Amino acid sequence: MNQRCESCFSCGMPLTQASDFALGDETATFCTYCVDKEGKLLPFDSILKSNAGYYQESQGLSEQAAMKMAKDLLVSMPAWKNAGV
Amino acid sequence: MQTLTRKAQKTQTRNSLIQQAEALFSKNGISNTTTAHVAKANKVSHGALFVHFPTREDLILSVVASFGDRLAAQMGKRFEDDMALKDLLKAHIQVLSEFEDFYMRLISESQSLPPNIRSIVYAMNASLSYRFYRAAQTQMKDGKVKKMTQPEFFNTWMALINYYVMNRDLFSDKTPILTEIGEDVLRHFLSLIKTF
Repeated sequence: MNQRCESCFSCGMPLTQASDFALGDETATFCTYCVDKEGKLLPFDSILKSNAGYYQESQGLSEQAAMKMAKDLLVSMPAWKNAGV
Repeated sequence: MQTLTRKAQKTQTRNSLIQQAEALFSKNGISNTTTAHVAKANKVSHGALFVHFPTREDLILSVVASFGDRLAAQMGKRFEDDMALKDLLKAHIQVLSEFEDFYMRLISESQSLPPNIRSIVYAMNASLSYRFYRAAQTQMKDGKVKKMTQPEFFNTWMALINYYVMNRDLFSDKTPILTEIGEDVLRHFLSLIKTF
């Protein structure tokens, strides 16, 4: 039996309700923001940019600091850990 | 008593190490706590700890993840859809006060922690920022709250909270400090942002 993921394997976002999951599928390992319309994982650079934007918009981090912060987090996630990004 | 399976025993030890590490981090500071301290407090060998957490960073990461999950769960319980700004901020204070010992270490030592852990803390804050600002915008539209950007709004709130938590020994003999002064901080913040 598949265990329900508690957080996105790509960005770490908590997966608490069906709408958080990719395509609303609660067996998915990614969140809704990290996949395209077919449920396929988006390219690293695209996710990096949107995550950095999230830090900038919410807390006013500089672009450089936000990009570093997003990258530090993403490269520790299962989807990107050994992907050589 | 039912004998635990090997897997269940392993999970139990892992969870116990996380709990013990959080208690030691809270009491002595994250940087001051070694993996040897955690192993000793949990009565396991130093080597056994590394079976569960290959590096010190992995241990810190697991403690922060566990803390983040519990914090989010508590926030989730208290936060309701369309909750008024004042009630959201009040709930934030209440939840942080429950986790204040570890939260104080986390924000005080933020710059010396592994970078991905700092990223997690700021990601948790990002979610709060969106939630609080959405509630604030409703009142900005009504003209009850001064218009300001999301970072201005959220960072002003966090500056107040974090300042008192980081320096809590200077303001009261009692902890959590947020239980002591939370209402005053909230009242002051609301008076700063209101238009009249």
